[in-house]
Amino acid sequence: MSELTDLYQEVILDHNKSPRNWGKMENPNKAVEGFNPLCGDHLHVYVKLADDVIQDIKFEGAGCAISKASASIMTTLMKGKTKAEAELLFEKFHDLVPADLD
Amino acid sequence: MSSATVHHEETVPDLQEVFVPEILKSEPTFNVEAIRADFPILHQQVRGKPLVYLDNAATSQKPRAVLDALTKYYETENSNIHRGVHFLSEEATRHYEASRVTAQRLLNARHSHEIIFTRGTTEGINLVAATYGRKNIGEGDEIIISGMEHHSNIVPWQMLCEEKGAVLRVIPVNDRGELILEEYEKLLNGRTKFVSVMHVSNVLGTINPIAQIIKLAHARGVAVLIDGAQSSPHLQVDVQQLDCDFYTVSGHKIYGPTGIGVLYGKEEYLNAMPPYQGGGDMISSVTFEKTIYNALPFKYEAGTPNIAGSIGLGTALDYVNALGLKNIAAHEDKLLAHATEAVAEIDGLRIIGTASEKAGALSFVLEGAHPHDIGTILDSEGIAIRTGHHCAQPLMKRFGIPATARASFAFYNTTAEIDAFVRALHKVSEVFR
Repeated sequence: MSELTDLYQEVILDHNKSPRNWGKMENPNKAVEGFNPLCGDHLHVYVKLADDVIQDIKFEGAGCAISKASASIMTTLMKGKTKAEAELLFEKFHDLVPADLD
Repeated sequence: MSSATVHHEETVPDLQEVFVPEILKSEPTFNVEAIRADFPILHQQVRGKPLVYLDNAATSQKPRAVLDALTKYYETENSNIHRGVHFLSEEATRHYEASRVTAQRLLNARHSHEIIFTRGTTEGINLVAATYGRKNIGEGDEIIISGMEHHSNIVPWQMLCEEKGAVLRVIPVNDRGELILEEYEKLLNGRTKFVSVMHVSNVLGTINPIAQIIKLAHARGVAVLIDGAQSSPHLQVDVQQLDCDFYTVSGHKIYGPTGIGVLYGKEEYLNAMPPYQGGGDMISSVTFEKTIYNALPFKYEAGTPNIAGSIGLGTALDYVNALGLKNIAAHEDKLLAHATEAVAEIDGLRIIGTASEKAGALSFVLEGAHPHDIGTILDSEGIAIRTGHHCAQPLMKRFGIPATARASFAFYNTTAEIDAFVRALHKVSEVFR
């Protein structure tokens, strides 16, 4: 089970079971939908942006534990960040995950 | 196929006289271990565990006889078929056409020229939509499919409807995953021009009552295509008895190579339909003013076909025939029943597809675990299953789920493999408890 516990770490399982910022947002000023036909992930992300600051962020949908947990963790990191800070995080994340997987 | 595969009772003759009932003498016994010896791919470790291959509805593994037939063709016979005056071409043509006769026997078609080689089931359906469909379906006409169809039996008809201004009607599916025949009867009307339904569902495993579906359509003079991708590896099919108009078979799902399949069509339809693709082999004479098309089946086989693939498919069908589809079905039914019973004990597991007549596939969802996670964890145990929408997104929507996990069985699977699969599912439950 060792490779399995590497993949399904406690933090992943926790966010999968109790995703933070889960649900639909009324009146977001940004909303996006992401769909991955390969594995059936289907997520909606809603953002309330005011004065260039992410006041609130929520998500909902269906996906595997990794996809759900990473969306959940993303929302906890993004909440309260300025747009510039969020973009920097986005770039760092993209450097972290191997881009040549595409 | 090795002679070890099918075991006739070969005990000492005089003992046989005494102990073996008459009926058993002609019936081969089903020896799974001997069969497995014919499949080289099954004998390997995956992620440090013995491979358990339960993704047979996606594609089946190939016996050594098929691999040998492909090698032998390329090593000793490779040449282009038809019209060749040299030895190799004659040999290749003879084997290619022999495979057609083997496929004819599989489906019990009246004529071998009613068997068209295609790339697979998808091409078979597209061929009928593009020829019979384009010729006979017009504005306001209706085509009936079912709510459990694979995308390959939805999209070609949708494209035709878009082109012609025709309407797609869908037979609904009940909660057990069965077609609601009363609703089908209501859908049939004067505008109905074609019915296209799968024989066995790749997701639910449901065996659809195609004899009845065909009969009801024929009562209104409507032609029917049956998508046999999932049924042909499991069930004996008799297109004459069914009075089926078109029937498709996928080679790689019935232990043959990929890129080869069979479309059966009734002679009268195949003669009346326009050709599918133009090119070599499908003509009898060409001038710039007029081309005269070739006779059946060549009219529908433009260009150099998949010669090796069809020879491989013929070999695969010989292998299946030697085992006997009746014996295959009995073994697979036992596996499916065993798996169905064992997974029922897993907390939060729900089987999708509980029809009274099923073959080959077990789909399920597990509370708290996305199918993709189930597949990943099973893979770490060396167990191959399929997860996702199985190219049946409307059916997923019908059951209100994004995806399922699906184990699907072949004659080389064992009860021990099912047990390993169920043990791994218990591990999934532990991780996502």
